[in-house]
Amino acid sequence: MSDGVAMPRDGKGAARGRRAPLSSLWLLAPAAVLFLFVFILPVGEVALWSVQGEAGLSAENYEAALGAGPYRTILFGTLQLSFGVACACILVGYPAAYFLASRPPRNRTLLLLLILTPLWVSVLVRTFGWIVVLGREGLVNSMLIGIGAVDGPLQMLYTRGAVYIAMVQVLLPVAILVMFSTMTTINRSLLMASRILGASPWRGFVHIFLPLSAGGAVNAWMLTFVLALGFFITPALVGGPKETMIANLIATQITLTLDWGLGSALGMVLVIAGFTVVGAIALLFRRATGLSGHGGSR
Amino acid sequence: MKKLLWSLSVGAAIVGGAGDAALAQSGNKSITIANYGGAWAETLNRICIEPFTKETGITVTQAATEDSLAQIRVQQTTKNILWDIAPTERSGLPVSSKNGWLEPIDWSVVDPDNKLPPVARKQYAIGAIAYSTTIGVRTDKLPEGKSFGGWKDFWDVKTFPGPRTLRNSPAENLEFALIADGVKPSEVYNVLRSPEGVDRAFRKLDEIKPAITVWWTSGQQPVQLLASGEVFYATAFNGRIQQLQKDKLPVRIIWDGGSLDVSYYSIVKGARNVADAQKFMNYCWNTPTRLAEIARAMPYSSFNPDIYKILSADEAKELPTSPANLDVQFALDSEYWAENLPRIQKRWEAWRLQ
Repeated sequence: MSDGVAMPRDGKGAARGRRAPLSSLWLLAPAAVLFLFVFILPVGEVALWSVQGEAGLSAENYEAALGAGPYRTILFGTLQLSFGVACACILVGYPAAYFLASRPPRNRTLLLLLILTPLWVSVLVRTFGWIVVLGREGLVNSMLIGIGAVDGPLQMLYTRGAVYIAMVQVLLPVAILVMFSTMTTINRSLLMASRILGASPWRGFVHIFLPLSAGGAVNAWMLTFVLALGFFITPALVGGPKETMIANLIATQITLTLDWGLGSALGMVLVIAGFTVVGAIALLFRRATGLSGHGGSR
Repeated sequence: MKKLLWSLSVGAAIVGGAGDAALAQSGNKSITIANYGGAWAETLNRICIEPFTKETGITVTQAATEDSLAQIRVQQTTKNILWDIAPTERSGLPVSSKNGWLEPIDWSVVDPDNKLPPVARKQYAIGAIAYSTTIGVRTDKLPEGKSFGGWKDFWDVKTFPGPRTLRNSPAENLEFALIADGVKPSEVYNVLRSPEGVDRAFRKLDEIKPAITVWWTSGQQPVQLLASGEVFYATAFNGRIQQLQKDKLPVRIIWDGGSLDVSYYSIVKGARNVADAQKFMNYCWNTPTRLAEIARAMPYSSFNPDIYKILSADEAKELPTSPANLDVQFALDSEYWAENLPRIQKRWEAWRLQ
């Protein structure tokens, strides 16, 4: 009986059958040209800077970036933080997206608006909000002291926890929207069918809804992870002494020490590390489910 | 004064709008000044730029910048010179001079009466104003009956407990640490020139590290930290602490052991209008009446000694270069930092992450 509700595994075959005909490739031309000028060429130049030494090509910048020392520590710290933030966004955002997707369409609009509104407020303002909330004389501390829960103010601002909270808050709407859009394409009659065939709602969710929405969750994870990698202002404003992100470090190299070679190398390492992690996750997901990361909608 | 990240866009919008309006009404001659935006840009606009344009017909546009050195470098490498005058503070001046990115200043135009001291009269830059990185103290958080004196007390977390903030930069902080360790302000660079001296400064910084809740990165940050009670003791630019005092916050400024720094302006190599840029430098940054007006608007002072003939004694004592304040501070050695920053910066990052 349980095999009857296993998810459809025809994703690959269907995708292969829909390869675009050559004659319509020109539709990609404007995007390709833009991509070439605003991404490939500049990144290529940065890559060149990163390997230019005093005399010809040199790997010294990469040795400085990846050798034992502060830069490697900061790089791993950045990857770790972004990983955690992306996971937290999925854990918090998935139930919200599920809730949203299961509302009737006319109720969704208001809820979607509530989720979208923070996106229109600048990251800077949202980060400052957290400074007000988490400060020594901020909302939370005043409340805690007011009800007598603590004697003195707790140090919440300028900690790793503050960076987590602020970054998750900034990125959460993005994660919810991506997952929501996948969930709305899931055919709900499959769930109904599973109930008719005797499955409990929980079993239906685990065996039908979860696998079908996993693609969206993985996409949301990758998107938030990549966005988190480049975070700059939030960790600088609410992070503690140890929450330096690689982006802050690159800015120091470009503007302060004027070591553009090292700055470029750090940038390239960040790009490559980001691609590697995202690529690995996408590959693992495809292996595990036989689906591409584009939402199992069928 | 500077690096007011979040006001920059607003400042740029205001300044940019004013520039456009001026461009529309006047003729062909124009100069572009890169600047840090915010209150300083508005002050310049009111006291220098508007009268200058009225008198000479030369349009002056301000361009906002955060990191002039990197942008000077870009303009020189691409040979696309957008600025006539650019700020070149800290390592900006030594690095750009060495690389040949600046035009020499014609001192017969900018300072014909030879009023400026050598520190403001550089081959490639004029010292427009001086500002100071000083200690700001929340007086209401001081322990009963104790008075706070300087770097020794900043380091003394037993007598003066409470969270503190310093700038996220080795420059200045190594100097401050040495002064706290008993080095005379006038001697700090002699000590720092030896590797043992740098070690000594870092060892002293180890002591204060646990009390630093945050390392500030932009000029407005320490002021907000003081105002919100997040820290009790902070380094900050003198003018910003004085702004807090004007807002009636219980904050005191400690000049002792302060780091006096110069806001230099240079003419970018290949600038379109070098002659008028020199004229503007003389008009704005070496005319005592205007300099006195600038000092009244913002407590940053010029090097032209004639301003003290115009300013009252009360006004003068608020300035970083007033004789009494000058005596207790040291001058930040930008040559030292231009030479040593890349190396020490790396050690700083490592030390901070430990």
